[in-house]
Amino acid sequence: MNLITTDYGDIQYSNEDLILFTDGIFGFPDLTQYLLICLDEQDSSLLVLQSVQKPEISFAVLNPLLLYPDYSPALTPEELVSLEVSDVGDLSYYVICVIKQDFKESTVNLKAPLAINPQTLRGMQVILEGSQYGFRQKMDDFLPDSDNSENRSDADADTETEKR
Amino acid sequence: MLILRRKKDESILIGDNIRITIVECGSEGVRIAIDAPKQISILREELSKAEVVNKDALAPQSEYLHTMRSFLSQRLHQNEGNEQK
Repeated sequence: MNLITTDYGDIQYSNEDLILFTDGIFGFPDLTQYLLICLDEQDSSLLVLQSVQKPEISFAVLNPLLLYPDYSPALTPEELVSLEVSDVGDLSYYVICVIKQDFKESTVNLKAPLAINPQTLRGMQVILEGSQYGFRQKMDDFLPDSDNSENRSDADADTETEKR
Repeated sequence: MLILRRKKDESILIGDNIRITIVECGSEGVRIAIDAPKQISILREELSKAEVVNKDALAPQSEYLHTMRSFLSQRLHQNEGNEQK
């Protein structure tokens, strides 16, 4: 199928690529179907979550483990049940970025990640209770400036849709 | 601001048709039951914060997005040595 997006041109996709957020995401309860678009085939550090229902709705997202290898979201048992997994480790996570003109001022929402079951492609945005993570953590705080970060996770590659 | 002390199973009434009852108190938090007309919106405060943050994140400008992406990938690859795939 073809989706003409406002910001990312024409996207070819098939139904198996659709990520279903049954409850939508916060503030957008009616938008349930999204595609994860890779902006560059060589580089999946920053992705776009594109609504299929509204071509003008999109979000920049990234895998929080890239910036923050110790990120360990604690979901409630109810949340795990609705995502049909038994363990938080069975999920892929993305965090939504607010991108500013000065990119060092950009923030990531570690407090309310998108949790996606990579097997079923069902997702939900959760709010981590009592966590130390913030809704607006400056991205620059997490960028390694010495070589102490080596755990890049490629576990989520299969939920990405390539832009053609 | 009005501050009240309530115990388990005690309620407060707001206006004619809102009742808030303390169901359980514990060190982990307080469980409350809210009886209110359907048209009244009840949100955990952090939920409304999450909505605002999502709205701020909406449709990032593509030039900023690309600047951010190249910056990120540069920094991340720098720190990975040369094990680029």
